Amino acid sequence: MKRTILFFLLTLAFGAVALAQGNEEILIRNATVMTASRGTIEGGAILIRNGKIAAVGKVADVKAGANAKIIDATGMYVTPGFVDSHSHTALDGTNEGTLSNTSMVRMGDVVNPTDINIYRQLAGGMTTIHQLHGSANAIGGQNSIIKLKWGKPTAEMKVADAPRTVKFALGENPKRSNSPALPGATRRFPATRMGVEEVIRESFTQGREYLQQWDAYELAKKRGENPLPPRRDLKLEAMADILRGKIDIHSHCYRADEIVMLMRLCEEFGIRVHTLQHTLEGFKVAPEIAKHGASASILPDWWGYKWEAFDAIPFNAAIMTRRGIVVSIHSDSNEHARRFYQEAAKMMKYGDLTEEEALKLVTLNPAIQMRLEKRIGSIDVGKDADLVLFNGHPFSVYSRPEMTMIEGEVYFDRKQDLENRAKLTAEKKALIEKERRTPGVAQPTVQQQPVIPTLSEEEIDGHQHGGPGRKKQR
Amino acid sequence: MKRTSLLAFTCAMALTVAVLIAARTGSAQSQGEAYAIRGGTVVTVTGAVIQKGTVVVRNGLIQAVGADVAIPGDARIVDATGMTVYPGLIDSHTAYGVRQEAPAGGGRGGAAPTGDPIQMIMAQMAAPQTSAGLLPEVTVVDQLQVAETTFDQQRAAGFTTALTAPRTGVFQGQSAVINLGTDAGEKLVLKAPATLNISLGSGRGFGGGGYPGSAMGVLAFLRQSFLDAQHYREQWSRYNQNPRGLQRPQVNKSLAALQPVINGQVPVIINASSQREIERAVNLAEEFKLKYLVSGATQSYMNADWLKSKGATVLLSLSFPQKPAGLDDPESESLRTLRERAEAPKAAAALHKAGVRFAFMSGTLARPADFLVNAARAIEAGLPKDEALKAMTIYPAQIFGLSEQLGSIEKGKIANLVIASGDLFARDTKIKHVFVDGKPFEIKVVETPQRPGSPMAGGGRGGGRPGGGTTPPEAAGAGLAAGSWTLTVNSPRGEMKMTANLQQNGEAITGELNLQFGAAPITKGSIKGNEIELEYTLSTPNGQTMNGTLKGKIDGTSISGQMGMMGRNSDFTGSKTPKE
Repeated sequence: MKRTILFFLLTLAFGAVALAQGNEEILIRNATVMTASRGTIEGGAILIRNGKIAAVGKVADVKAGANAKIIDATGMYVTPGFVDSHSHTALDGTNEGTLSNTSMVRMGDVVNPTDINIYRQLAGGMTTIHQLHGSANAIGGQNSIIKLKWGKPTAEMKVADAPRTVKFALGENPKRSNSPALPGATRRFPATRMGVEEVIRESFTQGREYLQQWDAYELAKKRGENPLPPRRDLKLEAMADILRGKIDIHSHCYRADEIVMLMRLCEEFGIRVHTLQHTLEGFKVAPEIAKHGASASILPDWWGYKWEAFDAIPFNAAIMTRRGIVVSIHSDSNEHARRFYQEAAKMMKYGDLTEEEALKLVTLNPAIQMRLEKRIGSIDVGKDADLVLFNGHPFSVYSRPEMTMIEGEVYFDRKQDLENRAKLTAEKKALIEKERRTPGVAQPTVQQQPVIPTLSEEEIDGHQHGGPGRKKQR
Repeated sequence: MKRTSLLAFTCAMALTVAVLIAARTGSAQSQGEAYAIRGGTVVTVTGAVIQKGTVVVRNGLIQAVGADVAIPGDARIVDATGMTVYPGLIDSHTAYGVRQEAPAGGGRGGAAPTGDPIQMIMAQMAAPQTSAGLLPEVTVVDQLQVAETTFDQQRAAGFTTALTAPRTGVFQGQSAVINLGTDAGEKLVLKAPATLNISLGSGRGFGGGGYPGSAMGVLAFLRQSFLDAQHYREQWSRYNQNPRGLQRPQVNKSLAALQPVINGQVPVIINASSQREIERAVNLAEEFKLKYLVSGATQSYMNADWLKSKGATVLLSLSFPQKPAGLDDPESESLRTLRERAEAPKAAAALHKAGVRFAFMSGTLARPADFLVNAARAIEAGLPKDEALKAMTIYPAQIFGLSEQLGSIEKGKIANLVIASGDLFARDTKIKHVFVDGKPFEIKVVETPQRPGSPMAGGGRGGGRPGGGTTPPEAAGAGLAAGSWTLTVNSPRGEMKMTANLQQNGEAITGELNLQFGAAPITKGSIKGNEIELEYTLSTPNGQTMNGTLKGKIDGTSISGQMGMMGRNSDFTGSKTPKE
């Protein structure tokens, strides 16, 4: 066992460069393949060609070309790369909290491809993340979807054919319950749940008027007139695209009443909530959610960290799944995202989800919520070769990912990581030593425009991710 | 204490008495005033180097230059034998001579104090929303404030021209290229507006500071501004073509000011330091087909080829990242930070190799003399010396569309000249004379970057080598408080780090605190025995000010006590940064 792992790691170390160059085949064989769509294949093999999964099945059934790179994964488990439907990783900002509707801002503008959390999450098997705006306002910004291609520029990380999505938020965060108004400052509207509803209704109404304006303009042009185009308003343009169904709503929510409120409000305007985020009381209104057709992305087992979180239960995922809702688990946290698979494992304990149902919570289901299920989320022919190789069953606390690949390219390899550490330590020592030898003189500088920190999602939401205050269960 | 003790005012005595008198009285500006600089090595930049050349200056312009030039009978002679004559240096992005705007509004009276400094700064930012920092029509020309001594340090380092604009806001203002003379502001202007300056920083902060308050908000705000400008152009173009029967569009100062920008007549400067900020800046400019200059570009060593592929022009900062003062454990810094410090001086060579057009700028360097010190580091890191010189003379002149007037020693150009004791980039070279608009200036050296232990440099720059981050040697007689301190404040929001640079003169303390949000100069300070009391003023990004206090006891190299702001106190502890 040990020797086979060593062999495959050596293969990797020398083969990593070759793997990166599309036009080759890679064959992973003798693995336990957890497809997340069609069960688990013991003694399985996966053939990767040009970054896509070309074949998957029993070892005997998967044939590779003579030049294929072989990865012997005897004793190992392979899962799809994990997909996080609610992340704030790798962004240079979280909240544009100044206004109650900031649908004009785009998280895709501020992706930080050098965030070390990308690499840390790769080491936990994460491959695709939905980068959300924060929850400080009723209608936040437009979100971004990236693959964690560590070392690549932003443009290559972005998923080109990803759908457009927007963040909404309900309850205590947008009404600023837990962030008292700054001394002397005017409190931002809204301050109540009624107000949050009103902001959304008003924004939809404005979006509808804007849409009509442009329709009238297009109509006039068709009549052969030469009208002045209406002013382009990026905020209302986003609202209009939401109403046209071109932008999916992903709404932060906790309580059952506000979940129902948002679904009814959307139905009034002829649209649908695409995904409910957090959805702590989703289990109370699961039939209503199923009927509306929303999916639910949830925090697995957090409760009691603020008033609206008191009624949460860990059976939420199982109850909603049994009601036919597409449920995913999300991290909302750089820390949880590093051991995402263990969050999924808990859902077998609470509510008896099957192993594959639990795995889907962090693979195929979030992919569906991000409308990327044709590309990612399961180990199926034609999908991107986003794969994680575990040294044991992914739901065991004793297991860890040995390798993570995206589109057939290795982005995390534990063996290489360990090797690199010595090199990096030596490089650091050398740089420190060089500076010590040539200390020089301090050059005074003038003050640059200070960068004002924006509040993080943790500060706003109060669910102190992984911190000492977490889960004070009451 | 350290700084004041280093203050050294010296005169360059090589000038003739007549020249000195002319400079002091300013009579050089009068009609027909002529100078002949003879005997020096003339580095023309655009032509060949002339050994023992002569440059004749009259009426603020270069009248003649060559090895064999007749010296007019009325010209005052400047003997440059053994010296080198250069065109005046150009700093391509500064905030020189810009008047500090008075704090707007005066804040919210009676704001309830709540405790920790961050809360208070945010409270200040929650002050009435203004459009400060969001107005593209603000011009630097209206904010220039130049006194006799304003540019002494710049001239002493060889600078005669700079692009200048304020450093705050999203739209930071329409910049001007000015000569660094002593005339009233308007007379110094060579070009205005030269550029419209834009920052992609985080805007005005979260909360009540107003939209935009985040990095993504700033980009959305800019996008909307340019879209509105395009719409405005369309509205007015339709109206001007055929006003009859059309409703008159409304005049809008901001959108009118953006017209030359979206039409490509005035370039934008976008501040961008990291690789990803550079990408954002270029993408934004391309989205709206703007002519653009990327300013800062500290990490351009990472994407020089990409910048070339975009046809970008860079104003490269010579303010290299420095080791923070008072760092206890060098291991505590990340490898990335260390790499960034080691790589930054290589950016110029990388841009040159990739073929990207660039000019140098001083960035956040407070002392103009450090500009040349750091340019020498860029040369050490692989930039050819003649390219370094061009990046502070003819290249910025070309970039700003001023190459017919500036950037080289040629007949008919503005007589901005630097006479140095030798090679501009050599460590012991001293600037002897500077001409701005044909007017000679005596060189006053206020402070020079100094390598510990080396003799004081007079009339030039010292041999300071930056980047190491050690502090200058402390003057003898400095007291208990003098030095650099690192303080940790226990605020209700958690620990906050800040530094204090204190000078002591008897019982008086001067200096400044450096908080997370900016520098806070000490307005009043004293020490009695080991008990120190300070008052300081913090300016918030939107131009408001807040007063605070610090009371503490010093015990050797430790300090502890209380810091107060708006009536609430927080405990702090701290220690003095050891001297080298």
